[in-house]
Order: sequence, then C-alpha cells, then structure tokens
Amino acid sequence: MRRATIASIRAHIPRLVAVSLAIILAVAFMSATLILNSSMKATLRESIGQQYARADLVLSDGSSYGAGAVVTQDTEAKIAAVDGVEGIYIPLVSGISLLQDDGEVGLQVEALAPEEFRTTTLKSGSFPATDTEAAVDESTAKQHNLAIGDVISTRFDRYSENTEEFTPITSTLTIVGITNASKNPAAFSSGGLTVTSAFISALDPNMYGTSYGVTQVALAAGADASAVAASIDAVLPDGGEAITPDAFVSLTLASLTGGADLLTVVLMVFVGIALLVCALVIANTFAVLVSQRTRELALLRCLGADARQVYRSVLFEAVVVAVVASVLGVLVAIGLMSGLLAVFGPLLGSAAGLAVLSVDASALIWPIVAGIVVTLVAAMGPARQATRVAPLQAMRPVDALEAGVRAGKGRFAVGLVLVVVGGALLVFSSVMPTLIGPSGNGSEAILGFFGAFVGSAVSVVGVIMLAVFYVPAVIRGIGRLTGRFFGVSGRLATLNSVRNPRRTAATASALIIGVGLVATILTAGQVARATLVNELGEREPIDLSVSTGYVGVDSSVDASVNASAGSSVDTGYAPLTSADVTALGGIDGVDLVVPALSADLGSASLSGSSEESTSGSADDWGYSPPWQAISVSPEAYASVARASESAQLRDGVALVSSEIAGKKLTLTGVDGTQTQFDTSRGSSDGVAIFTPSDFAKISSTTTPTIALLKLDDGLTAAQILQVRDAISAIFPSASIGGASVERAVYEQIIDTLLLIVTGLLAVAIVIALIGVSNTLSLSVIERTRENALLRALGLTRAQLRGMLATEAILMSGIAALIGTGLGILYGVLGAMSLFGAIGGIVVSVPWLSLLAVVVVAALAGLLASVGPSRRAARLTPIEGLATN
Amino acid sequence: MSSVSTPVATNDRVESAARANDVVKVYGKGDTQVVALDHVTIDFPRGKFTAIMGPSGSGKSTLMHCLAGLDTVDSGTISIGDTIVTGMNDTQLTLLRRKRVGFVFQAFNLVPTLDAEQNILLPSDLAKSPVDRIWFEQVVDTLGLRGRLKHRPSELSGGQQQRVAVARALLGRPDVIFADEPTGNLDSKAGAEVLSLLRRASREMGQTIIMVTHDPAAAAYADRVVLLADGEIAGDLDGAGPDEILAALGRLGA
Ligand SMILES: Nc1ncnc2c1ncn2[C@@H]1O[C@H](COP(=O)(O)OP(=O)(O)OP(=O)(O)O)[C@@H](O)[C@H]1O
Ligand SMILES: [Mg+2]
Repeated sequence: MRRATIASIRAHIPRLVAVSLAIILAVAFMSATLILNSSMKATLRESIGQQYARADLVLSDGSSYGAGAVVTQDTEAKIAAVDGVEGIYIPLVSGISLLQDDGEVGLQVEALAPEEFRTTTLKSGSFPATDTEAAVDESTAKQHNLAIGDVISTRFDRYSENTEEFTPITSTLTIVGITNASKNPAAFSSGGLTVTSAFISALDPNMYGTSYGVTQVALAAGADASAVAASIDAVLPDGGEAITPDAFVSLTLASLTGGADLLTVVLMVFVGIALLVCALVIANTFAVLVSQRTRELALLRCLGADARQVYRSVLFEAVVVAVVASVLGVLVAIGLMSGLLAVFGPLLGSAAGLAVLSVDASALIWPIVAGIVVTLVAAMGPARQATRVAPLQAMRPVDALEAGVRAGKGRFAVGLVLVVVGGALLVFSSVMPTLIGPSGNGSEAILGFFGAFVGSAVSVVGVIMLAVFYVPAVIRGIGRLTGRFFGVSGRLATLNSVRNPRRTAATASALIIGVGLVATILTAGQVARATLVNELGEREPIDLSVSTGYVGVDSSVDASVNASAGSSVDTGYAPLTSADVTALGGIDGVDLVVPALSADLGSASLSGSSEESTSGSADDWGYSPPWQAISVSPEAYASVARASESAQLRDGVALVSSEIAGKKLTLTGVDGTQTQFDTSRGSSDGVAIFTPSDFAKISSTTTPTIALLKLDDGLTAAQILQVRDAISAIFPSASIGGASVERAVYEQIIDTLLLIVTGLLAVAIVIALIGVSNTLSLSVIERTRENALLRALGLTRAQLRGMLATEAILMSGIAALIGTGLGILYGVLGAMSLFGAIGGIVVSVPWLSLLAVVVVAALAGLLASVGPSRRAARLTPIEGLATN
Repeated sequence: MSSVSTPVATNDRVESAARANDVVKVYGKGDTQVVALDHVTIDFPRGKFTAIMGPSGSGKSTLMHCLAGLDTVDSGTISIGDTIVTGMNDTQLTLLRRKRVGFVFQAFNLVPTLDAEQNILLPSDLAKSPVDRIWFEQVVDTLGLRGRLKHRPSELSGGQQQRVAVARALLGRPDVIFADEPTGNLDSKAGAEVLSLLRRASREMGQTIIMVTHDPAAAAYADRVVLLADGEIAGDLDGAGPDEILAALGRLGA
C-alpha cells in the first residue's frame, strides 16, 4: 500500500501544487509573524544590552522588572573595595530644559561615562571635556536644529527637600560633538545631551545615588564573576544584587515586550483565519482527489486493501504534502523576513523596533506543526469518504460512476438551527445597546459585543454548512441569466458548476469566508467611522472657532475701536472686522466663516437632570456650567455647524454640550434679572450658543469678536493644522478652538486600521483564490474525456475556454457577492453592538470599496481559470478521448 | 445453513471452489423491482474453468458479484471453498479477497501509477504477505511478461494489460479467479491469447476460474458453460464447442 500511495503522490504532484501553495502561504504567514515577534525582541535586547556592553556585572535592585539598585557614595566605595572589582560606574542621568526662542523643551542629560565603560560613540566632533561643553545625539540635534559650535542655554530646577521648593539653575553649554543616537527604547527619550559628570554633579549634589542609571561593575582580569557578585550582594542594601548584563537585559525585556506580544496575538487571529480558509481548500482538494481516484480505490479494495489502509493512504498523502509545504512555508517566511530587514532595516532602524533578524525555534516548529495538523484534520473528511468506496465500484463502467454525494437533511437542519439561533443572538446583541442607549454603564456594550461575536461565529458556521444548498441554487439562477448572453458554453458552464454541489460549495465557502471578512471589516469600519464622526460632530459641532484675543479692557486702541463701532466696551476682546472675515475666508480649506458675538458668562448655574444621565444631578457629576456665550442666527448656525438635524437653535433654548443638555441654564441678564433657558445638545464643552434675541438679554455686546469656521470636507489632520497655522499667521494673538483636528485624526486612525486589517485578510483571500483555481483545474483534469467529447462534437477551442472562464467567474463572483452581502450584514450589526451605546449609529456602507472587492475577486477567479483552460484547450479531441 | 458463525460448508469440502445456494438478489423496490437472481443454486467444482453466459440483463454480473462477496444477497448463501461468505463483515470480506479470490476485469484492471511488476505484487503488498518468487517467475514467464515488468499500464497494449491482470490473479493462488468479460476490450487474437492462458492455468495449475462472457468463442475455451436467463439457471453444458453454445443460447432467445 505504501508503494501505491507514494506512486499516487508522485503521479498527482501537479494536482498537489496548488494545495501546497495554500499551505505554504498560511504557514509562511504564521512563521513570519513569529519571526517578527522574536526579531522585535532581539532588536530590543540588542539595543538595551548595548549600554552594558562593557560591563561585567550590573547592579539590579532585585525586582523582577529590571531596575537598577540605588548606590550611594558609601556603597560605591564598599563595592570598589571588593576583591576582584576593577572599576565601578554609576551613570548620572537627569532631565534638563533646553531654552529656545520659541519655548523650552525637556531633554535627557547624561554624564559622559569613563573611557572603560563608555558605549556612546561619536559621530563628529569630540566628547565634552569641561563643564561648559556638551555633546548632543544625532536625532536630538536634527530635531532642535543644533550643530557643533552652537551655544545653548539650559535650565535645571533643583528641588530642595528642606524648603520644598524648586530653584532654577541656568547654564550655558557649547556643543562640541554629535553622538550616535541611542537605540535604547527604555531610555526616557531617544537621546539628549552628554555632559561631564562634574556638570551634572554641580546641578544637584543630591542626585548622586538617586538617578535611574544602572550601576555597572568591571572585573579584574581572571576574577570569578559569581564570587565577586556574591561579595557585592553582601554590601548592597535592600535586596539589591549583582547580576550579569545578560540576565539584567532579560528582566528589562520581559517588562518591555508586552507590546510585541500583543501585536503577535492580534496577528495570530489573522493567521488563524488564513489557516481556516486553507483547511477548506485542503479538504476540498483531497475530496476531489479521492473522487477522482474512486475507481483506483475500488480496485485496491478488490485486491485486498482494507478500509484502514485506504484511509491511511489518503492521510499519508496529506502528511507528505503538509510536511513539504510547511517546511517550504517556513523557509519562505525566513527569506521574506530577512529580505525585509535587509531592505528596510537600515532605513527604519530602531524606529520600527526591527534591526536584528531572530528566528527562534518556536517560529520554526509551531508553523510546521500547525500546517501538518490543519492539513491532517482537513484531509480526514475526504479520507473517510475514501473508505466508503465500495469494491464493487471497480466493476462499474466509467460513466456510471457518480462521485457527487447528495447533501443530507441532517446537514440542512443543523445548518438552519445554527443560522437562526446565531442570527437571533447577533441581532439581539446588536440592537440591545442602541435600545438601552447611552445611559448604560458600559457593561451592556461589552456584553453586546460578546453576544454579537458568539452569534456571528455560530451563524457563520451555519451559513457555511448551508452553502451546499444555496450556492448551487444562486449559481443556477445567475447562470440562467448569463446563459442568455454566453450561449451554449455559458449554459454548460452553469451545469458544470452545479453538478457537484458539495465541491462547488466548499470552494465557494473558502472565498465567502475571505471576502466576507473583508466586507465585514470594511463595513464595520465605515459604520464606526461615520458614527464616531457624527458623534464628534454632535459634541464639537463647530470645526474651528477663532477668537480675536483678549487685548485688555483698558487698552486705548481697544477702547477707540470699540467706541467707533459704537458698542459697549466691556468685552476686552479685539473686534472681528469684515476684513478679518474675508481674510479667514480666503484661507485654503476654509469653507465658510460666520462672525459671531461672544460674551463671558459670569454667574451661570445649572439645574435639573441632563438627557444623558438619568441619575444624579449636575453637581454629582461635576459638570460645570458654560462660561462663554455665543450668538448666531439659527440660519447661520445650521450652515456652519456639523450637528445633526436635532440640534436646532431657537429662542428660549441654549445649545450646550451633550453632558449638560436637558438641564436648565440660569443666567443673570443685562438688566440684573435671572433668566432661565432650556438646553439642548449642539455645542462644545463650556460654550452655550444663543439666538441673537436671547443673547441680547444676557449681554450688551454688539461687536463680533469670534469667527465660527466650517472647513472643507475630507481634510486630513495635517491640512487642518496648516489651516490653523495660516490663521495664526494672520491673527497672531487669536486663540483657536474646535475639534476638527481630532476628528481628522480619528478618521485617519480608522482608515489606517482598516487598511492594515484588509491587507492581513488579503492573505486569506489569496489562499481562497488558489482554491478556486485548484478546483477548476482538478475538474478540468477530471473532465478531460468529456471536454474532448464536446470538442469532437463541435465545441470550438474558444468556446471551451469561454466555458471554463465562465465557470470560474460564476464561482468566484457569486462567492464574492454572497460574502459581501453577509459582510455588510455582519459589519453593520457588529458595529451596532459596539457603538450602539454611544448612540446615533450611522449606517453607512462603503459601496465603492465593496464593489472593488467583488470585481477583484471575480477577475482573480478569471485569472485562476487561465491555466486550466489553456491546458484543456491545448488537448486535441483525439488525445482527450484516449486518456482515461 | 442458518448459522453464519460456522464457516464450514456441509459436504463439498473437497470438490467445490465456490457455491451459490438458493440465492435471491432483488434490485429496486415496487414497480422498478428487478429480480436479478431468482433462487439460483449452482456449484463450481475445484480446478475447473467455467463460463457463465446469457442474454444481456440475465444476471451474469450479479451472480459473479455475489459469488465474489462484492455484493450482498437477499436470501440464500454463498460459499468460497469451505467458507461461508454471506453475512461477513467488511474486514472478513477484505481478508477473503486478499487470500481466497482473484479478479480480472474487462478494463481498468491496473493501477495506472504502478508498473506491471508492482501491479502484480499489489495484493501481497496490501496483505503484507511474503511473495513466492519462484512461483512469480514461473507465472511471469508463462504469461510472457518478462520484458514488460517495468512498464506502466499506459505503456502496455490492451492484451498485455489483461495478461498482467491474469498474472496478478494467479500469483496469489486463490480458491477462485473471477473474470468479467476479460476479453471484451481485446481483438480476437489478443483475446485468444488471454483465454488460452486462462485455460492453461486451470489445466496445468489446477486454478478454478469463473468467467462471464458474451462471446461463444470465448466460452468454448471453458470446461463448462452455465447459461443464465432472467436470473435463473437455464442450462449447463460440459466441454461444448462454439456452435453448440451458440445453439443453446439461441434456444434462450438471445
Ligand atoms: N445496481 C443496480 N440497480 C438496479 N438494478 C440493477 C443493478 N445492477 C443490475 N441491475 C439489474 O439486474 C439485472 C441483471 O443485471 P446484470 O448486470 O447482472 O446483467 P448481465 O447479465 O451482467 O447483463 P450484461 O450482459 O448486459 O452485462 C438487470 O435487469 C439490471 O438492470
Ligand atoms: Mg454484465
């Protein structure tokens, strides 16, 4: 049997190429992810370790997270006296402010290590020799425009325990050298100033022994490290211990690599999806191979093979494929990652946390194990199917053989139950947060998301189980339409696609899962984006507000301007002239400028309960009343604000932030009486918007001092910052408010996340498309005789190719359509479960992107048909009929 | 014959290689019901070459499938040698096929991915039983396959493929070799070669052979011809020639 199996594998190699490719991809994906993790850690290890490169021992405080022991001058002397200790170095590290024209920035300042411990290297110039000299690292120099010869001013705030006060100490330093940037991510910053230790000691005599630097010890030649370490431990206070730099780096690493691990966990989810899709492709391939080998298997059974031998022969074939493909997959991953590092490593360096390629055993073993297990599990179904081949089937004439197994009623029932139960849970979990609304305390959202997740998982299993029923039906339906356009080859293609419903359904399922996930992510992302943007619009309806700036009540200029404008002079703000409005409107990216009156609210108070919180009064929640009043006409507000229809400005109602909306706002009017307003959401925190007639009751101001700006849609955060810069350039003293930058940043974050997730899911889709090509080429091989017969009966080569292309497009296009449909459903419901509690779900479907996904999938399917159909068309009718 | 667990048939321990006892086989249900075998009792003596003939649809293949344990019977019993086949489970049937019966089919006899020698050795390979090399060499020489052992089925002529199948069947020295239209796909010369090989195997090696055929000329190579009609035994000729067989068939209305 072994021999027959091996011969069969050898003969089937061309048929196994595609499935191997699918396994290679999935395994490479997993391996690359693990290599990424270990490489990030290795890079980190190298960069952390670099600073202790010249130490034999370092002094840890004995904690598990890699902190240095505190070493006082006293202790230092004791350690230096230990037998075998050659030198000791306590790094002095502190923070200092660099004073520049446009403000001050915090920098790390570090004492230059003695020669024998020094790991900092010079890029140019020299190390500081006196306490008026400093070296600066490359990236800090670039960031703050520093060069050799520059003289900088610094300030250090020395804290005195006695007086509990800070004393500023300013110094002047000359830059004498540029050092290479530190790669240590554990450092407070990427680098800073290197100065003499005398300089630092002078800043703060008490700093000694309290800085965060890790004390390093060098040993005399021939000294026994562990014996010396033990002696040092004895003099170190509070559990501190001397350990090797390696051991210390491991401690630091463990406390730092949570990020790398989290990334790996997230990536592993996508690896899991790729493996799942891969399993579907494998199962399908082996099912096809088994059905193609039905006669051979029956013959083997006649000749005395028992069911177990047949079962094992299929699994053996799977194991061989799995081992070969998995090993190749790991090699591909290693090649890919080392290539990536070679190309991008020098470019990104430590910024990406990736400089050292590290392939640890887990990155080799686990992907191979996963590849083999997934392949074996996936091949079990087909193997069991193979054992059901009856010996009698060897006696039947060829054409009577029908491999197609009819799908059972049990499958239908189970699938339906899963869809109904899972679907109900999903819908309930998605709608619940919206119904409960924002009053919930957050646990509903988590519960809702969890329910939606479970519901989705359960119903998706059902949907895939039912695929065997609806996929052929959909293909038949759509095929009937296309048959009209493509004539006989279109009709034949439709019949071919549905002749083996289980195979078609399995192939389609792989693609449905891949495309469905992408569609889900795209839709959920779009809904999330629209909902968040909408919510931000409600909370911060004005893109930008520009206040002219406080110029002082007593300013003569102010007074004269205000006087000439004939208004009251009590605001203290410069007036916004019509020239200003024109200037603002002329800035690129500004859509609309609405000048508005503004007044400070001195004695506002809130009462009653807000719309959002059903319990607790304003005081309980600590919300303060608005401090600024703005007046615009309802029409102007409608045109400039991004709030929804519900935010309507009218007399008697003040628009306030959503936290306090619904409370009563009581203000002292110009005439000294108390006026009470209803409130409704439609403004940002601290600002209340009134109609001009209401505003007149609380302020006598008639000169606009604030401009409300609406920006063009779709500006990036960078563009909005440019707008703000342009405004600052025109009005240097203006203060600019508004959350448009935030909104743009949110949009960008969501878009970036979507792009990454889609990219990661693309691996699964590529595997699914390999599956489409595989199924097609296998069925072409299987139908060689039949296709030859068709050719002999007058089907042209082009018609044959057309038939196979139509089959491919039908299968991949319809799978993509179904996947997209499901994805929209799951995406909207999933987003509702997550964001429903925030309120105001905006259902928005990214039609264009989804259309692109469907078109790409269909085209990829077409591409997948090119190979098989060329092979089929190349065969002459005679050659085709001769094969068996 | 009610007990299945006693695998010993009553009297014909020595003479019978295969035996059908009051076998009924019905296909389908209701209107489409076909009685393929209608109370068939027949005995195939050891060492004889028997041909089964009859009109199309008369139940020849069905009888052979039932005798070989490939298909179940609705009533009656089948025995191979002294073993009762009826009621055996899949494992027992597999063991039976390994040791006790051989097959030669009309087509698709060989595993296309294995060469001739590997195909011949496949049953002993599957059973993991040792190969009698002397017997192997003898069979290969007798069938004239010496120069073809390393060829794949696709590199062999139809007649050579059938001879490989015969060699495979002979190698295991089974109780019975079943052959369903073994010459159906061959021209008369290649067919005659295969048939005389089968006859030699039966005469010189004492091999029991049961062959289904349509061709009176092929049946004439057999020691005995059993005639079937509508699922019943309709005749039993010993050492008949082609003309005699043709005449007997004619009487059946075929
Ligand atoms: N699997 C089956 N299902 C239903 N009916 C069957 C089946 N196999 C055979 N039959 C019927 O049983 C009867 C006997 O069939 P069988 O194949 O034994 O005939 P045969 O004598 O071998 O004919 P031929 O010479 O054409 O091969 C026929 O009427 C046939 O239609
Ligand atoms: Mg027949």
